Amino acid sequence: MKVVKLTLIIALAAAMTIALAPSAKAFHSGGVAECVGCHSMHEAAGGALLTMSDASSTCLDCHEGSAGSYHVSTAAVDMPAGSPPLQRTPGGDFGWLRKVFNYNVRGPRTENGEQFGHNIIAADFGYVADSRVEHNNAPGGTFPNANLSCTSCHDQHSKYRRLSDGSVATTGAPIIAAGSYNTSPAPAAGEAVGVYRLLRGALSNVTGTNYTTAPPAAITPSSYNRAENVTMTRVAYGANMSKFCAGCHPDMHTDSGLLLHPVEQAMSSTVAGNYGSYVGSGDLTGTPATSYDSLVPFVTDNTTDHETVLKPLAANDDSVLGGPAGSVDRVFCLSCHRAHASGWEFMTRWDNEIEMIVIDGEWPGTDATSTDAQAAKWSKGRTQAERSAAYNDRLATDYATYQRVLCNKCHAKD
Amino acid sequence: MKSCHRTHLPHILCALILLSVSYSSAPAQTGEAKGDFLYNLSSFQGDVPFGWVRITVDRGQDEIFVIGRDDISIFNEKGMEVYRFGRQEVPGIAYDVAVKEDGTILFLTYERYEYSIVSCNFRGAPLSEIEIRGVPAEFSEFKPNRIVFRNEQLYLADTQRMMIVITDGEGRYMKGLDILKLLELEEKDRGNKVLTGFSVDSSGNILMTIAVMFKAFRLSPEGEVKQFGRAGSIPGSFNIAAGIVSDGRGNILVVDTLRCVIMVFDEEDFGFKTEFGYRGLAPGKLIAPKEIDVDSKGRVYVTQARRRGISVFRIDFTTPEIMEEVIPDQKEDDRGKEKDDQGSTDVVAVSFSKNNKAFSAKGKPATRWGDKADGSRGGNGRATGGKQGGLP
Repeated sequence: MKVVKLTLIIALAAAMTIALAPSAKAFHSGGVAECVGCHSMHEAAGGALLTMSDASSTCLDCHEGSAGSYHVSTAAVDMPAGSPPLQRTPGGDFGWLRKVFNYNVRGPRTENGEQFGHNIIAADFGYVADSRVEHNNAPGGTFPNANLSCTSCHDQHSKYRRLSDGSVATTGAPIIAAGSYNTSPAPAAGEAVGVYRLLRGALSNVTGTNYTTAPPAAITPSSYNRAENVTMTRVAYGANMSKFCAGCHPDMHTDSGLLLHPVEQAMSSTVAGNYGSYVGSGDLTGTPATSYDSLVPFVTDNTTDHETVLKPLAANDDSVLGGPAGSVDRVFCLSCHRAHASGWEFMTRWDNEIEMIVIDGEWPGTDATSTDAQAAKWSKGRTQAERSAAYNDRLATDYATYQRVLCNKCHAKD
Repeated sequence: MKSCHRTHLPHILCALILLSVSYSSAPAQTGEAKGDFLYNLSSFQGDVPFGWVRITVDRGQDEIFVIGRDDISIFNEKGMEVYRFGRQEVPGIAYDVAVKEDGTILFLTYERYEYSIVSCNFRGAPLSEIEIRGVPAEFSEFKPNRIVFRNEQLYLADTQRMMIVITDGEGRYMKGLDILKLLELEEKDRGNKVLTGFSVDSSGNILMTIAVMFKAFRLSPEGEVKQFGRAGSIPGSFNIAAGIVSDGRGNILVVDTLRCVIMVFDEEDFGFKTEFGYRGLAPGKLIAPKEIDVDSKGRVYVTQARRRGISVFRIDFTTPEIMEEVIPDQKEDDRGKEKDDQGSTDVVAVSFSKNNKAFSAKGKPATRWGDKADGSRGGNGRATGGKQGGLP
């Protein structure tokens, strides 16, 4: 009888598991995901029973792919010489790490991809540690480059959650969904949503990191991996993003006391005024209400209010283009850098190593129409497609015909 | 004891009901077919350590075209590399390749944001350009990244925008398909939902997967859409559905990148038959498989990550139950042909049941977009069937 009962119980449990399993349409859903998506009980390929040989490879198993969707990396086959990576996420495409640009300006020069972003180690996808001696540790910090993976910044098992009262904790209510999007549900009492992009915080440090705050506050439009040639993708950033970066790059942060470009500090009224009126080099006729530029984002009011402040600002249809308010909104690391990688050294959002980013009305490129724009000094071994992609397909005509670097969006020295 | 029975009766009934529900909703798993690993595509230096590359099989010649990061390699039907040329030797930059029945190679290339179809000879030397003409305005944003040539028709797919354009062999527009609208998805999903697998079978059916929907789709030339697949981790279910192809023998093969398997479904009723591969480093195991194609002899070519190369399988249906259903004469004929073609016995002939429709005569379904359902030409078409072989 006991055997019969046990059999029935097992059969019942098995049947319920199979028959009643929900048809999941998301994977992370704001917290720890389906375990077997990343771990294999009997066929593991890497430590921690990972399905791939390391953590980042496990991430890229899903997150590398064709253009669009939730992909953050482009397969090498899809980006041959002369062709850019395919993804247009605000964080940038890790595929830039695979690019090499050769050109001749006062002698032959080579730009290797490793200088274009965070060199995550994903052996199964050919991503290796930064080989530069000066980058054995994170710039401005001690985090070893041999440890860098997607999970250095993102917590794959994130317990952080945003509760109904707006506070962030690691417990208190179940996570019902992702909290990164303008379409994410507002958590009701007794509910929570995940934190932005499952980013880490003070309670989820890993070896080598020193996050000191709650995870950064931000909201992205639900459709974010998209070309910006028609409308921009505006991610609404709130508090803690620069302090998050300082978790590995503390000496790059203003708090270090070193002589650095300020971050997490309110813009002066002059800077905010420049941003509001800047259209392009030599053109300060803009208005603050339409001055937003996705290549120079900013932090809104150092806020942690996701529901009433950040969500209305996150848009991809140019319906929200207001610029910063002086003494309130802030410059931060991502005003100038992308988080993953970019087409430029130091993963800046624009080519900061030349004076002008637009020449004769077009993006410079080896295949540019204008002979001026073809010049190696400006094209730097890149095709126009590569240069345009690094700007998420923004149009050169959005700027002046001879547009200087976008430091001027805030400083208007041109 | 009696009270015990009474107490557990509802549980027993509940268990039986749930078991029957779960059984009926689970995919049919016959276990009668299996995938046998043959070898990896190789050069004279050994296995070629391809990662995620693009693969196309010329089923006329059973040659395998592989587009890597820098080179385009061609392998013969024994899996040996016989030719290689630079990806940039093709005018523009080659993104995908198709092969016409007469052996002409068609490259989908890009130059300065504009795509073109470059016709090349067997050495990859350009012959001419096929201009795509008459594409309507609603496809102005169309930027294809996949190309297939079937039944004298050219199929171009923009997997990101989920659009497909079909032209005749000369590039004259015949049909445009907005898959997003066809599947009644919302416009805001464009770019978020993308085609993760795309192919066209010999009957002109378009096969697609959309990973985030955990679904595979078959779109017939008559415009009928059928779908199958469900999310899950048990055999026959989808985690990250990727490449999809018909093997021409009654099966649809679907790659699951995350589960590291190739699933075999009956193309008639989409019933799950079997799956093979599985994660691992041993021969025949797979690491993050992605793209798939088959040759005329049913060999299955699968790309994978970690520079594990392109693994070649055959699907073995030679179980006793199925053998009984094989049409004897045709089975023998096929075996003889297989031996002749192979010249050796290292690749065993694949036999097929009636259920697999390998030899069934089912009237004349349309095989071309624009044809009538009875198989007659709808107006734009030329006669199908070019020369086999005969490279220019």
